Amino acid sequence: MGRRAIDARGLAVILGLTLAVDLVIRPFSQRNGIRAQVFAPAALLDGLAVLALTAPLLRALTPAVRARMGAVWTRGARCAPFLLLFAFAAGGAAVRAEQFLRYVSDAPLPRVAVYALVLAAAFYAMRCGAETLARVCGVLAWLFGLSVVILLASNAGGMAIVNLETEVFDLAEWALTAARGFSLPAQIALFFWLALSARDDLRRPYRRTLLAVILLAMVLSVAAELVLGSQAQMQNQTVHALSRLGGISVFHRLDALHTAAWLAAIFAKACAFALAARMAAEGLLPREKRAQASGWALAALLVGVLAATAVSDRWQSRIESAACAALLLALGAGAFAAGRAYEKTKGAS
Amino acid sequence: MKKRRALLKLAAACAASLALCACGQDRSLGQRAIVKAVYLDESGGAYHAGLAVFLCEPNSDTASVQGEAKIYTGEGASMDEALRDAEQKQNKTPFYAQNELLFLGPGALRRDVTPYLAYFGQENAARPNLSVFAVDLTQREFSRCDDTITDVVREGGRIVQETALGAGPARGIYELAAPQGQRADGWLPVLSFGEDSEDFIGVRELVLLEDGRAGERLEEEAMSTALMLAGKQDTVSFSGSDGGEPLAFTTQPLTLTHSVENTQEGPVLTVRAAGRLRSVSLGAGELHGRQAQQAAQRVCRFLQRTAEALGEQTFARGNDVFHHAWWLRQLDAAQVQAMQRAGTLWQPGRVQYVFDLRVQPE
Repeated sequence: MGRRAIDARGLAVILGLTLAVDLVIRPFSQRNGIRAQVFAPAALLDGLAVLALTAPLLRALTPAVRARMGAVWTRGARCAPFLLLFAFAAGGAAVRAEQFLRYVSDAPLPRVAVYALVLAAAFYAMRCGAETLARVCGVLAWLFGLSVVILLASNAGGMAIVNLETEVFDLAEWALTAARGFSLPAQIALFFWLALSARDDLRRPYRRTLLAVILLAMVLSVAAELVLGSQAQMQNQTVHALSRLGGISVFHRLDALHTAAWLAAIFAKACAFALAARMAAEGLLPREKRAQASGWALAALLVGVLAATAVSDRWQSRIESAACAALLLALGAGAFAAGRAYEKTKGAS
Repeated sequence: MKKRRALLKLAAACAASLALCACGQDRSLGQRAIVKAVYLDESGGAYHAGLAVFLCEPNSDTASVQGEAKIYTGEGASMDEALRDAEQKQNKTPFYAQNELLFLGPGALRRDVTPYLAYFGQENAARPNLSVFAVDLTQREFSRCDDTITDVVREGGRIVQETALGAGPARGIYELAAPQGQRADGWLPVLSFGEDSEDFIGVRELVLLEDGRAGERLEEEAMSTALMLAGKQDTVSFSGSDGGEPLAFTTQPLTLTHSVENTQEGPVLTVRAAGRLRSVSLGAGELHGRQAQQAAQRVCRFLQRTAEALGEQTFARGNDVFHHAWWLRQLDAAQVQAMQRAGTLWQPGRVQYVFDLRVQPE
């Protein structure tokens, strides 16, 4: 478990995969109900808002500032809120994975078995480092991308432009939809937390990743409406419904392949949060006990799973957004202070 | 020591994976009743259900329709009850994951098909590519189709797959979904059977749905033109008589374009089908050269009359089967919505059909 710095590409892939999987495995208690004509621009607006809010922080976190902050922020009591957020987010991912697996299965696995599976994978990921996670996420991102491409290609025959619901474009409706749908996912906090250990310039990878995820959201919503018409809004798991339709030449039942790729991705999301939780736990523990950090992090993850089962999807998203915003603000303040100190020492030398 | 611990961990993980469902489940496919088609009808206030069940031999391929088929029927006061009654007529657990066909009987077509579509259109209630067909058989006649049901299911499956790839008359359950509170509109393909329901003919006509009820039937050239206008088919072929004189033609794939322009009476949509004729004959063999060009003009006029008749049957009655209102809305959505509310949108002059077919150059 060496402290090798993770590179920008790996961080971008982790962020991209963990955000993209939330687009295909949607929360179960929030039906979309918004036509693509409003949803796609609202997604664009929300995504750009997240980018605008977090880009200044990334700009402030120059490699030099990160080097100074890394030592301070990854040790001590400051890690506690990060540990809580990552454990909660990992629990949320585990709960959603279980719900989705139950949704697609004919004979579902018992809940405890799925949670045990996710926690076992998360524990294994904790023992590996961030580099391994980045490599695995890279492979899974390729699979995920392939799944999306096949999804769109296999449904191309069933798309009809007359299925798009086009009403008079209402600016107020668009703004309201964007405001209601805005959330700051915990993956952003994960990215910044892992970025503290990285030394590369992260601005361009971050921007590109967020823009790619925004594009994916827009494309999926428009494609779903092109195929399913107004029924796309009635579905809870629209992309899963899309994966059960269509075919490519003789292959007609590809939904099992898609589901497998998506479940692997959501496991990766849980593992990413677990790894970050382990890093935070390591920071909280005194030096002699650092080797047991995985155990403590696993305990935190268990609490996180229990907490996630207790709250609804909507509250999960709200809690994550609030915690992520608070932590990003704290990081921003720290970056500001570290930047000032750095300028002073640079000026002095 | 470290290697042994790693191996032990790996062994533990593999042992844990044995708890996964595939190893624990003991219900093999051979113990399931694979339902390939569901039939629903209503009469006398009760729902009639029929299930076409295929028995799976442990070594047969369930994707292709092999093996014996049996039809089980049931009745009930609701669709759920009727289906369950049919399921319980045999001892295996029903397996609906391969069910792509829904047949609606004459009683359902006469009353209202919307509840059936709503029932199967619920999320995860059925495969999203469940296709709906209209059949003219009562439940009793359907239950006698044991011999032909294999053919029916195979043909139905083929039509569904053809449509999924872009060209075919099948109607998916999500295409027919009506917004809340409204009744289903559109059209359904009809599976035709011979005199004594022993012969299966296939899809030879379409039935129009207006307000959930079955209306007129479209055959031959009307059906072909309707499928082309609906984007389900890009060639039109006809062989019969036009006003007493024989006419037969086949087209190459046609391109359909829609253009809207504003006139004094409001927006007018022009639907234009352009392409080449593969062959045309007036009863005495295939024509070539100048005669073919003249015949092509006749074909264009013939198709135009057919399309206008279709327009009278559908658009002029407010039944927008071909989504013409969508195209009209692209020019000025607010105006069209106002016209829709006032009822002035549904006029036959609102949509014009132009067919531009040429003969293939020699």
